Amino acid sequence: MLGGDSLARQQADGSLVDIVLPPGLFPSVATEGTAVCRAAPAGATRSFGAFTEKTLRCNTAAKDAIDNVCGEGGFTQAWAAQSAAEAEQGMYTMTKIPAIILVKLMLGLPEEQEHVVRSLIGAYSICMDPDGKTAAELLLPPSLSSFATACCLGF
Amino acid sequence: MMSCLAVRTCMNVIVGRRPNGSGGFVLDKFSLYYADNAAIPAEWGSTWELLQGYSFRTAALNGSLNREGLNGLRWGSVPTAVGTEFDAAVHGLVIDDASAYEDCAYVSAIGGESTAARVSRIDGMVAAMVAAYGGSHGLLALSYDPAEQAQGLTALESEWQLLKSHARNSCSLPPAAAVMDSPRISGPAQATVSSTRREGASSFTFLQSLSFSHFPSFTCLHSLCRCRWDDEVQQTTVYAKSLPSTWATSGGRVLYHGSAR
Repeated sequence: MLGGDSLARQQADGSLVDIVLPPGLFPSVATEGTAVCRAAPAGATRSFGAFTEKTLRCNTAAKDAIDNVCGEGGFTQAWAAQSAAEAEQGMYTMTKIPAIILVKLMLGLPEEQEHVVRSLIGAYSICMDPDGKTAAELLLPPSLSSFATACCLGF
Repeated sequence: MMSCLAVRTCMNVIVGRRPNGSGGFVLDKFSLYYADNAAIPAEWGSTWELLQGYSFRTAALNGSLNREGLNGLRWGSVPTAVGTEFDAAVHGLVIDDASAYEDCAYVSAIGGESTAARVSRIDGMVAAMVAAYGGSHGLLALSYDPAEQAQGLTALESEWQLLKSHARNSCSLPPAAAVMDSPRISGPAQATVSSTRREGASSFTFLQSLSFSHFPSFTCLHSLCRCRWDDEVQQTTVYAKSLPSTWATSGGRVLYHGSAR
């Protein structure tokens, strides 16, 4: 994990900034600094006005913490299937990000981490059921299930 | 058998945060919904128009995950204030199966409608909703900004104003590298103040908007610029996070007229 000057250098380089989940807002985080996400451009480079489409890429501890918050609050989150590279790195990519997660990060990060807060500025998918499973089961004949898979992914 | 073929897009846009005046922050965000990606005009390319994606989610309504409120709005079963009425169809407000599934309502696109006309239509819809469903016991949630709450502003109005301001703003958010070295610009300007925070000899002022006399086509919005008042030199410096390079100066200061302190 990066900190201080090295973090600033990373940001200046255009690379991603580590977002350390504050334990106070993500109660299942046992040890401060272990649960880390990054706000990364999402897939194709689409933007909404001036706001780049982004997603959260998180390590296992952060994924667990986010799942815990969503589970307790009744919010629906979704994660993409891990690629081989992600599995190797222990990283996960969100495909549906409940606003509560973004709100916690935006309001919970301390003032001295303003550069981290700025890295979160962007547009995040809140599409329900991004893998289309429910829609496929309830509404679609099998021949159209691949179409449903694209539903909500924005492509 | 088939009812959801359209590929849709629903987004939460995180614009930034501001001090709330009591040690915490206020989040600036709005929602977007595009009912059918296939209907997005090719000329948009990879940059989709904000205004066409206007929507509001259940967070604009009272309660938590308030799907009942959205359904009530959809079927016109929510009581309106005495002497008012609200007909969603008049304004083009749509809550269909797909958007209800996404917990949101959106405003339909009308072919050939100008930007100004669409803004006016949504303005009218928001005003009508506030009249019909506002108030302390109404369907609409108050703004999450304490200052706006004190004015009785609803979350619906707050998010619409935020989206509108960004839709009109021609500036791009800076890449991370640009944020690290914010350019500054000089000249007289008019500011509308959102909130201020005092720290020692300095007070930080957060703006709703800032327009420069010398750059009439440019309006800097609160998420894109910061203002710092320095008691010692009795001056305000505006740090703009992103400006076209031709407008940037090397360390100039902005003196503005108004009551930013």
